[in-house]
Amino acid sequence: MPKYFEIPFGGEYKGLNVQTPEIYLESSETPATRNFWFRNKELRSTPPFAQVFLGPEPQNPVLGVNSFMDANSTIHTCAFTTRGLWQLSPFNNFPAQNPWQFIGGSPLKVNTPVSSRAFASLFYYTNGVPYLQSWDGIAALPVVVSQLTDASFGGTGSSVGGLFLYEINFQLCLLNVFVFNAAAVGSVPAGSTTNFPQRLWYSANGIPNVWDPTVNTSAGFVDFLDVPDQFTGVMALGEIAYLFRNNGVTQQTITGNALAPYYFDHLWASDKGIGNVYPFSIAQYGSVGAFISTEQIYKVSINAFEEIGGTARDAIMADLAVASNSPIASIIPNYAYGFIYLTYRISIPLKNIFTRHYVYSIEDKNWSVEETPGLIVSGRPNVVWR
Amino acid sequence: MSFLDFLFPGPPFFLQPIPTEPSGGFPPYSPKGGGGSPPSGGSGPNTPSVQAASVNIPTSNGGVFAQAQIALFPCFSVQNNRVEFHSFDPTQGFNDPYADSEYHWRVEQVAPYRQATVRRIILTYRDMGQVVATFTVTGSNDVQQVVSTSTPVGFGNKIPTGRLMTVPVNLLLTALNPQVSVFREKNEGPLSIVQIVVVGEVEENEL
Repeated sequence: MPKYFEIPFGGEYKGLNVQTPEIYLESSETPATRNFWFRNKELRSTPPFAQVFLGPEPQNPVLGVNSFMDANSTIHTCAFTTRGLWQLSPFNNFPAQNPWQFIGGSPLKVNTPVSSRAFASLFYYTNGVPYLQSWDGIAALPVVVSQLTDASFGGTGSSVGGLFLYEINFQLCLLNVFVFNAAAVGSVPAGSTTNFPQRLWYSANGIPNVWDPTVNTSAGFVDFLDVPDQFTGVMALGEIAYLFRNNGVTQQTITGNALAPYYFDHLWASDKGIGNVYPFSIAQYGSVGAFISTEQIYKVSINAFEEIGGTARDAIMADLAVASNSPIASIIPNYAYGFIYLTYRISIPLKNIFTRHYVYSIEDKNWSVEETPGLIVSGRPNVVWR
Repeated sequence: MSFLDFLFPGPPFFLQPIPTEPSGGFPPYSPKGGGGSPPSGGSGPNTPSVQAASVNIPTSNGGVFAQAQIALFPCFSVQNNRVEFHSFDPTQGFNDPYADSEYHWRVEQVAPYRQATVRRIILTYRDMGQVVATFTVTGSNDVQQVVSTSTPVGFGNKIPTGRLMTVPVNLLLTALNPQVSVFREKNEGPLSIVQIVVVGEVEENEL
């Protein structure tokens, strides 16, 4: 005599689990999913991933997008291409009209996402070019703010730029800097760019345009000659910052001493270990950050690192290993018009024909998967004003 | 200067209508296609670029009205061979016209090495509009072959109610280790599953 059964599935979804045989999964886990969100205990098909704007230039990839407020309290939404800085037009919802206006500025580096930050109503940005630029939202053009002419910075007319830009202790910091030699110095030819991947620059306290310690002693730089690798990114959390390396993390704390404003602690100081191997996996929202290491995905908060790869880690790492371009991550708090879904998203281009997104809900602690056919995510997503 | 300026000194304020839902209730309200939240209007400074400048500060060079925030994804479209900005916009509903969706529940052993017969799935969903989804039960048989059966089901109202609804999905499969999955073809409607109950019978013979 057969026995009757009813098996319910529902409730709080725990997301993707590819690391357990399917009969041992919990009823709220899934061995395979695509284009469903698990928000608010419902299994809901994803909304359309629709085109909102055309890019500033049809063939030139966007290197980043961000919003800032100028001294008039006017919001500007800016995008970057190798050609320079663009801003979103106030009438950006008119069809058949380019919503972007070219602002200008010096060219930016190819295939390198732009790091940008607003500080004292100025919008600073860089991406590994040998200069740091800023725009106030009022002037016609951005300006280069990091021109240094002291011989100690590489020779007369040299300038400095960096990949990673952040603010801590009212000072802007540049990490992974380059020195551009405008004049011949010793054996270094004129016009060459020297990479200093272990160097950190910091501006004078509260004066983000002054980087020369001979002008203001609270500005300066530090060379990390005691670490075996180079920096891949940074995350500033309150009064500390985490400087990521391939094989480690260095914690930067404030000393209160203007002459040596920062103290650096190489957290585990191991030759090989937990670091950041995908530079564009570093993402932050408020007091929460995340990054990808060799063996795990970590959530970062002040003084705490939490493993979040969970049972989806193997799938994520397998796709990262076959990515056809740089994977890009971001933390998105709201998707559009007040729809809150605080998620850490890892967008992995595959076979150059589509992008697979692994989405971690920071509130619900689950992983879901999206695929966007025919679209390669080329820059770091960001929540901006329009 | 009006009398309000004497009553409420400080920055100007604007009276905004309270958003209402025709059927009452609380946010999130149902936009077209159902689900999600309405445009909130944002809480930003809402200052157009053409506003008058403050004293001694020149007028801004452009800017946006800052009426809404949106998560922009810089993308390269392989089909259109151009750079585009895309966004997931829940206010446009949850019917993705570009990508299909699928979800697999766990493999249900029911009872080890006994054939289970799944004959019905009771589906509870949120009515966000009309949708067609295909439910599949997959398992294996005694000769180690994969067997499966599928049933496409259409449900939901043309005018979404936002309420929970329950429908039966009738299908029939006898197999070991049955597993239920659902597939929504792209542009086949917004799907929001709250619960499924798999119904059937299982052998009770001794091993």
